[in-house]
Amino acid sequence: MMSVIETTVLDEFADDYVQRLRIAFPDHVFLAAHNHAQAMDLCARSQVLVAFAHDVSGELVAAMPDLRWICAVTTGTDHLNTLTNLPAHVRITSARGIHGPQMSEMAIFYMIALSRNFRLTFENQKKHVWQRRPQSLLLGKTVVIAGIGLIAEEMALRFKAFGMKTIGVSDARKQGRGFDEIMPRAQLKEAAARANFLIALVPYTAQTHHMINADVLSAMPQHGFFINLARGNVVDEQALIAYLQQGKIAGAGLDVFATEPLPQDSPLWDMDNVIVTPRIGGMSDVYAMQVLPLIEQNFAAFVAGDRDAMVNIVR
Amino acid sequence: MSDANILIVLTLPEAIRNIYRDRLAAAFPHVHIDLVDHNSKALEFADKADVLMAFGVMLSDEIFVRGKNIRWVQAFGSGVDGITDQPSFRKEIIVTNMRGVHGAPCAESALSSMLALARSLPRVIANQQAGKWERFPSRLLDGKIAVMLGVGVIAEALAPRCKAMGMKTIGITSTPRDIPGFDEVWPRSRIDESIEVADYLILLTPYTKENHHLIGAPQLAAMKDSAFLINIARGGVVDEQALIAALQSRQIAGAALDVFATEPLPGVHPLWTLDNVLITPHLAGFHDEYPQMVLPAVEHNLRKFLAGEFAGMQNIVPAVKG
Repeated sequence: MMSVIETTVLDEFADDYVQRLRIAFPDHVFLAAHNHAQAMDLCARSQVLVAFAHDVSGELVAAMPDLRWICAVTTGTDHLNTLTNLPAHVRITSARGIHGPQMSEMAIFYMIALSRNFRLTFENQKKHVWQRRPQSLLLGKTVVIAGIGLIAEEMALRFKAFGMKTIGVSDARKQGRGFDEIMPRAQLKEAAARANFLIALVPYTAQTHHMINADVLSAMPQHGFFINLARGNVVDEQALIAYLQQGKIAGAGLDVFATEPLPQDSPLWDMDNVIVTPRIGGMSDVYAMQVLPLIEQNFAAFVAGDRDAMVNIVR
Repeated sequence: MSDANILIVLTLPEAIRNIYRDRLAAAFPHVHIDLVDHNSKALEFADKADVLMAFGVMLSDEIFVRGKNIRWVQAFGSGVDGITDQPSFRKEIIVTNMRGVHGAPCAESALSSMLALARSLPRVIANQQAGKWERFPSRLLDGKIAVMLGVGVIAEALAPRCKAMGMKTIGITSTPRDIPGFDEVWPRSRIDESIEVADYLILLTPYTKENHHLIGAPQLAAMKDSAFLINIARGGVVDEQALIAALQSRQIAGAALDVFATEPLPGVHPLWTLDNVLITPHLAGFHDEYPQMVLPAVEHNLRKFLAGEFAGMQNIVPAVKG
């Protein structure tokens, strides 16, 4: 006889998940925790934890003796590796593959907001100033994406629809959907030199730490914009600040930072040529709808005892 | 005919105005060019002008009253309102426009507005200025419905971009036909239905009597309360008073307006202050590569005009009957 699986969902919008999971799997128990404290109260008998990877604490893991699966609803699960008390047998899956739309739209939002100087447009509106400035087009411009995966391909396909030239930088891939050209990482500087927009999209590893450094920034044209949708430490933030302050690059759109939340005294907040967002690139108004098919597919395999049939297995 | 008097009216920054004059002067050393930055300054040159070059919206009837010798008007934009609709415009004047060059630039402007609305640009900027780390989910374009009223050159460029963003695209036209990038093209009789399903209602129609206040109180009431209105057509296509009411009462989620009943938008106008409105000062087709994009056609037309080969001019706007 199939045993009842108990699952704790830790999410601000946990009700959305739990409602649909209860319908899909009426024989199992789903508990909605809207914050960490609630999860601590509810999780004691749960074998499954559905949560953003960075919301999972060692304390929570310690409170779940029966834990067998962490179903992360994020792509990145690196935070889980820092939990020293997480047993090795606990399966980890990610939500890799669902973030293409929001990351792509975020990138295009940055590109247009920076190149059209939306901040000035909005300032003018507040002052009731009718100031006609010729706008900069994406059409015909070159965008360089460092790091080619599923998200980069979805981005590149959209950029092509805008009539842009797309260059990818990767050692792992020789071609990718939507890319006109792919250059090896050793040629990152050469790629940066051609960029109207340089987008960082690499996973954060020892190899990509400060991958965008003063050397790469110095290769960029003065009219070039840098966009970081990867991780804060993929760029040398101090070098970036200096290049922005000196006007050596045109501006930056930054969703991730070396320290998050971005400290109050960071000069990045106050720069006219920078748009700061609080790591919202992966978020969307329909996130639960995007990730639920993946959760349901993996839950079905988990319940059937077929752990190898699960997708997006991290370990 | 080897020379002519050309009057250029361009209410644009000096550096941009000069690009037009300097390039034409270099290509046509025998023509005389007067360049002014406002229609009020054009009057003293109008009486001797053979050719008038301008954006229609920058002109006045007075220019045609004085400009008895004007035989050709080159519109730098695609709209010929402000030209052919002036009371003193004479039907024998040849009018050429820039139909065709606005597709990609205007499509980008429309999508820029859509993303700025979807991603709550004012909130993002205000948070940054306040040093506030406030995480909130953005609305996706992906999966939403874009309805375009008018399926000309701009819609043809906008629809494929919307499709690439994962949107569903519906076009409304009086002459339905298959158009690349559109999931569906509906006849004008279904306009009400299209307004009801739209997440983004994008106005791209020319301004005609028929389209005056095409979007009024009933249409705004029929829109979803989560929907956005984008107007890059002409101000008169929307009943501004009804729009202000709909925005204030949150009957619709917001609007991005590039065009207005009166331009420049008066400083005291209530639209400036609504928190769910993005105002751009008639920028949709205005971009930093515009002179380079349009001047080859202008030069071609001037060459033909000077040679008396009027039929060889590009984009001649058919005279309005009546």
